[in-house]
Amino acid sequence: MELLQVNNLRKVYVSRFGTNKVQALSNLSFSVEKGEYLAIMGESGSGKTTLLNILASLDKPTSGTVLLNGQDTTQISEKNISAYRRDNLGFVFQDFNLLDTFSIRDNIYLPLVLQGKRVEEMEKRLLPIAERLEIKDLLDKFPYEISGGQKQRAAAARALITNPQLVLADEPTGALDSRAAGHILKIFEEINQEGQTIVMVTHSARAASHASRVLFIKDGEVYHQLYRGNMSEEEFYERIQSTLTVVARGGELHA
Amino acid sequence: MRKLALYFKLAFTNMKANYRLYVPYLLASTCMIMMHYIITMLSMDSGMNSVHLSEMLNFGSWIVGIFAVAFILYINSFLMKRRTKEFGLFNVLGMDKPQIASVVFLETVLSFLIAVTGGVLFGTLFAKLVQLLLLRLIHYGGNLQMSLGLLPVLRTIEIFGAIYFVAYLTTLKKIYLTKPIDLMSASNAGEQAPKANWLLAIIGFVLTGAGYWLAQYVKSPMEAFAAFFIAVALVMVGTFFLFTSCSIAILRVLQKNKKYYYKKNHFINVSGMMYRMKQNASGLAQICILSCMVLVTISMTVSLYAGTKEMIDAQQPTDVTISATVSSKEEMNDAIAKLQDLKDVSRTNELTYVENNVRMQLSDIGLADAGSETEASVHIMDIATYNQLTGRKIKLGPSEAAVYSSKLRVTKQDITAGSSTYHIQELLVENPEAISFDYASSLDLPIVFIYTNDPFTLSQQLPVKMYHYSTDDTSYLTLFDSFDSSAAEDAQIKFCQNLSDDVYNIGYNVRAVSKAEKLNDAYQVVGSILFIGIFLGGLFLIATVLIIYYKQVSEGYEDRSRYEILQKVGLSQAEVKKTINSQVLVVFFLPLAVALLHITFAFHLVYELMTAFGLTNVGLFVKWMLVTAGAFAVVYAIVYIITSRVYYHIIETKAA
Repeated sequence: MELLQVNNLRKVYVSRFGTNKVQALSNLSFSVEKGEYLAIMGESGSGKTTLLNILASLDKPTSGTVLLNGQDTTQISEKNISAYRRDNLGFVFQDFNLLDTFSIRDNIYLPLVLQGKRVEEMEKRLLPIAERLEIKDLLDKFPYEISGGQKQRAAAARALITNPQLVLADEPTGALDSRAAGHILKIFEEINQEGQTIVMVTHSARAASHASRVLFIKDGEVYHQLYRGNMSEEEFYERIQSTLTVVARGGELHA
Repeated sequence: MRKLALYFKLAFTNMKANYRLYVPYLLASTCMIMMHYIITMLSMDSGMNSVHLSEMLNFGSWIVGIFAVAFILYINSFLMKRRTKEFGLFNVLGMDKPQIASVVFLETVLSFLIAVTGGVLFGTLFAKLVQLLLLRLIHYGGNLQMSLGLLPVLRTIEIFGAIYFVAYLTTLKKIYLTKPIDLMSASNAGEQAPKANWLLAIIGFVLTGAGYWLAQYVKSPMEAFAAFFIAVALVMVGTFFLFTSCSIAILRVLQKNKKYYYKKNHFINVSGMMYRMKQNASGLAQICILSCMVLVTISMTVSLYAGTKEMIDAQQPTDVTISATVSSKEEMNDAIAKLQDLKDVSRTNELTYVENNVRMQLSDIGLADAGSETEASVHIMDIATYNQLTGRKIKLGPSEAAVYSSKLRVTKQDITAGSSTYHIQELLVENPEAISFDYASSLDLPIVFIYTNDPFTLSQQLPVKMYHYSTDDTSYLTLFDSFDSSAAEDAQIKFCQNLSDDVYNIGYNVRAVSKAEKLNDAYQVVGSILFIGIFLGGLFLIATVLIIYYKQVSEGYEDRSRYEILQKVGLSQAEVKKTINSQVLVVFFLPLAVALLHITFAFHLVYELMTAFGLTNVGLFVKWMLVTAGAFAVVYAIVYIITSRVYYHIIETKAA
């Protein structure tokens, strides 16, 4: 079943006086199955960030549609968009975006509080997730007291606690050392296997190799895609690396 | 030479780049220099000397100078704190510390030149206006020349040059003592989670409460003087703890209450407020204390000024009051006849009476048991005067008296005067308004009016005499001759002067006071006090506004990232704006609210202080207090609107 459907997405940025037009996305279409783990790769300027912002409904496309469970998110009014976002989407960012004024516990509670959930319900939901992400002992600490990997796991807990339809991750390993990155990627893979749909934007072939499918975009279009199938993580990593080289060279690919 | 040009260029671009910090700084210092220059100029002006204001103005110029030092140093330290990162960057990019110091030196020189030029320029422009205001405040009828000399300019340059130099030294210390890596990360130092310090919170409540209690407890102006500084110190320290510790303690309690805390509105606000209070507590306490200073200074001086006429009316109900010392009934009649022969000014509502007013021990007149105080202000008067003024017909025997007293329990008992005894035949409940004013009441001394048929004899019998300088044993009484007059004020003043100089050869040690002159004298003092009050109030206001502004700007930079995260996590722009707005509102108006609370509790104390200056009209004081508070609140709100626009501008510009 298709959870997310992106059709003919186009995004043109116009400079303030309309003199300069930059096309970030030209004609982008793809879809994500429920339970899939999709990695989107591309070089700087390929339109990755623009795409993610549109998927996150933080930005609106110039034309095209984004259907989540059949509903066009680009048509949701400004008034309802925030509520829609927090009810259906979970976010993990490169720089964690934890609020320094909140303890880890309160950071994770934040979306639930915004949804107006009761305290008992929040506590009930937190426990399994905290155990799952191995942050149970950190709950009463503040962001500045813990490591980057721990922060990213806390941010993941915040994304997951609302049971979102889709988790969007923006370079989640970008600010982490390789060990912490490995840890968080393993966790992502596991929660995906438990049924969570994830879309991750990344630079890193290592990160992408944990996904079930990798989408390569270039100049605002889908350039190529790779399925992991029965490949091991190492094999998939090799394939991604060689594909990236070809993409960078600008050669033709046939999959 | 080219190096110097480069430094100049750097200094100039730095100031331009930091215009949001520098423009208010320059404006405020320009204002302060202008105020200092004007008041210094006036204090050195020969015209002001001719109206005897030089000393007062000189005092004012010192006060303005002292506060200017404090404010400029404070603002400078704030500016430099915000700019440490910039200095760190220069350092990393290869400028050594002497070079950075040179650039900062040029910046200091530039801002000094701008502020001094502006201050002196605007000062010269407004000086005449300020002089006219001052002359109006002291009810000076004429116009005075004003000389613009170079001396006040030099004095201002001297003082502010020194202040800027000290400010530069503190910056220099900062540049040299900090390592580049610290300079780079100074403003991003890891924030500790605010912890509630219950001990300090309790101390804050106790100190403030003690100050409040002390302010309610005072019963006399004398006590008020003593209590004032203690109460102010208590409340100042208490306020500091209230903002730093109590606020966080209260928020902690709210946070512990899960049912309350985990609600959409409370959640973000409580934790946000906690963070804000931790960052701004001392700044807010300063704003609060400065606000109190503005309110007290202005309301006191304005009330004093507005109450002057009434105060003088109470002291001297009639236009002219002549007094002469007489020792017998014959002398009294002679003096009255001589005085009434003088026709220089017309007379209406004339009243003549004798009085012996002397401070003595209550035991001296056999009233030792009448009160807890030992001393009283005793007035000996003729019962005929009382009957004349009140229209009553009290008849007394030779050794009988009628008594009016305040703050004493006098019964129909006997009073003694040396070896003689008088029986109190009548206890008077009312005293004629025309003679009941007594300075002693403002000093909290009991008052006794003793009316007899022969005040001269009674006075002679008393062991304490009114005029200590008299060598013989005669007891002198004061003869009062008071009246209203339709003559011109100048004629009245001249008449009184002539009498006092004994131009008319009356004898009897005559003195005369005209209300017109008394009013002029009073306005001279009160007007100049009000003038200084306005200057000081203005100075405090500038400082308050500036602290508020800087607080808003620095908070804006810090809130920006938080604002973005909240939006990403699922709060709509409108919701974010609403929550931030409510926090900013609370932070902004909290100092004002606390200041108003302080003022409310200080009211009684300040009122007691005012009575020492002779102002006893509570209604008048309440009125001006309310007007001042209202006007201040309006100014405060305007400052809020302006600064919050800067704040939202910062918030909405995306972080680079």
